[in-house]
Amino acid sequence: MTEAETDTENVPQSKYTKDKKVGEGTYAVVYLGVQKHTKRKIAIKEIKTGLFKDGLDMSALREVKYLQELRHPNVIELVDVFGTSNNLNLVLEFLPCDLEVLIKSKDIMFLAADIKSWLLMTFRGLHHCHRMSILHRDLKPNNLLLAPDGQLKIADFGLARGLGNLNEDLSSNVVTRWYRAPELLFGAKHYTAAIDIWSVGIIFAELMLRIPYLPGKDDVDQLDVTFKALGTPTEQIWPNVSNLPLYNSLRVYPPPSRQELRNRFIAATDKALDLMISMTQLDPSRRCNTSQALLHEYFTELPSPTDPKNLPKNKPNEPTVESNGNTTKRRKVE
Amino acid sequence: MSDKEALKIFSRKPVSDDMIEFLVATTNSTIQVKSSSAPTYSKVDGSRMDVMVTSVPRGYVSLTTFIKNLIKHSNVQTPTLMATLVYLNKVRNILPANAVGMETTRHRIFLASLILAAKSLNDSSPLNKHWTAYTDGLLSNQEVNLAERELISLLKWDINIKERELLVALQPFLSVIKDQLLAKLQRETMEKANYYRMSHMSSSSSNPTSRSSSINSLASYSSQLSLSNSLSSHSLRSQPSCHDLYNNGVGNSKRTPLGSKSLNTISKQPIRVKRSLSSDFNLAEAGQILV
Repeated sequence: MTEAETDTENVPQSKYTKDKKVGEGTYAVVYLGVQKHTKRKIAIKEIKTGLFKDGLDMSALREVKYLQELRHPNVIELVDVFGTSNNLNLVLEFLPCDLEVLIKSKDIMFLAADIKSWLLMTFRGLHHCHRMSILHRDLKPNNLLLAPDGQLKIADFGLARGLGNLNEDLSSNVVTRWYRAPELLFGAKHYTAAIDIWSVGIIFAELMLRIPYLPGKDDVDQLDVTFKALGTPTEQIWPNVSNLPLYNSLRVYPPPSRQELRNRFIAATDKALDLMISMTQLDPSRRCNTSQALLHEYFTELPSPTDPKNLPKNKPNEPTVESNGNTTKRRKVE
Repeated sequence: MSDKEALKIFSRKPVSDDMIEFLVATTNSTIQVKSSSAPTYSKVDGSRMDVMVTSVPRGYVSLTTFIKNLIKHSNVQTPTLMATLVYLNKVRNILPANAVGMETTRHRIFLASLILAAKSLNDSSPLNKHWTAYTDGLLSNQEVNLAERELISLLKWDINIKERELLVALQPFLSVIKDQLLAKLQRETMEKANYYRMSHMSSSSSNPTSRSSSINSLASYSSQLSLSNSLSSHSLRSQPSCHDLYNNGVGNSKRTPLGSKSLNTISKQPIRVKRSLSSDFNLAEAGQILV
């Protein structure tokens, strides 16, 4: 190859450095790097199967499509995308931490105001997605990334999809198990943005408990764990639930009383409980939407949400990066 | 009856022959190809014809057949084809006008656009090896992958679809839908008006305030209509037959003083419409279905 052919200005990968590998899985490798002309820190998500065999990878394609559409302070920024010989590279903003890491760092204290701040930013980002008719379909603490300035950013849109035609079948095999809404557990082919609300509700609970709220061991156990905590749905509280494909032979648990929930979430105020109950309604049509959540009194009562720059951060010597955890298992949309 | 509603209605329709024809025409407009299929060769001298015929690849089918088969095998629905159209339009705008492809270039462009649309929209999209099979032997898996890659680099990864682009791409279909909706609306309004004419013929005049407000909403609606239909050159005004019906039904009534006064200050519509609407019947119901 001659000098002329390697003209660096026109080769996208030469605009960035790939400095350090920070995560690897079957699906992608994540590198830290720098955008040369701005000296800005970036993360490069190199999708291994991006361009060969079955052509462009579907998750990567969706991630690019939706991130191009969604520009919001609480959604991860897609800086660039380029293909090399066999790989597809997504250049993303550098986000050093995620909520899962913080939740697991038991030496870090969460104030009620901190939790409120994270939840507020999550809802702002999610409101933007839902307003554009985009369902995320994989919300979990691990996909809520934290910028150095404390801003929370929703990431990993590999399972996202636009909500268009109502006659179309949607896959119910979405969302990481612990955060999967009951209609998905029942195999519903038609669902709404309420599945994301459920996930955020479960994340809210996890932020307060500091352990996963509904950790099912497998898909069957997930039903049991979910209904043990929140009651088994019946035709009375959720009309037509028994028509869903996987609704059968359920153990019937009573719904938890208010007092029971108070005991479960000792630190939660009544408003906080109200919001969580409204997000974790079994019947998806009864769940609040992002607008109702953002206007909820929980966010206006004291304490005010912590200023993002004062939120807890993980220790600088343990950097984590987007997809660090979830690259290990590749999810499929069937 | 905005463009958005027309889009929604269109997206729920089954794939029509018109849509397939439109896809073919749009694909044809993306690029010129070196030579076209058999019938035009008849006047070419023998030796040259041989060359051309052998240049047609094995398994070659017309673009129309190709597209029909792809749609049949993959069972893609209208929304996916709508997105495909937008990508085809993008390709046409990107490729230079003097670009020339080979026999199967258009086939490849169409297939790549369809794959891109299907992968980004549907939860259960065929894999490229399936798409390869759907080409009935025209393209290899490698060629399908390559076409997809070339499309995405041609688009410079700009795979987002904006509502505007959909409206532009589908304008011919949308204006038909809007015309049909408009006609239906007018028919219903007329029926309502006639119904009220019958039921109120003998009763005394209704409350003047409710009448003027209903007329107000009707008038503002019809001005909206003519705005939104500027593209399809279709508005209430261009439907004399409808107005005649109105007038036949209600125009010969003389009991109009209050209504016509208030209307003159409210509406910018032609007098004829105003008069027909300002007659003494309670149009509140008719106004409501329109707003």
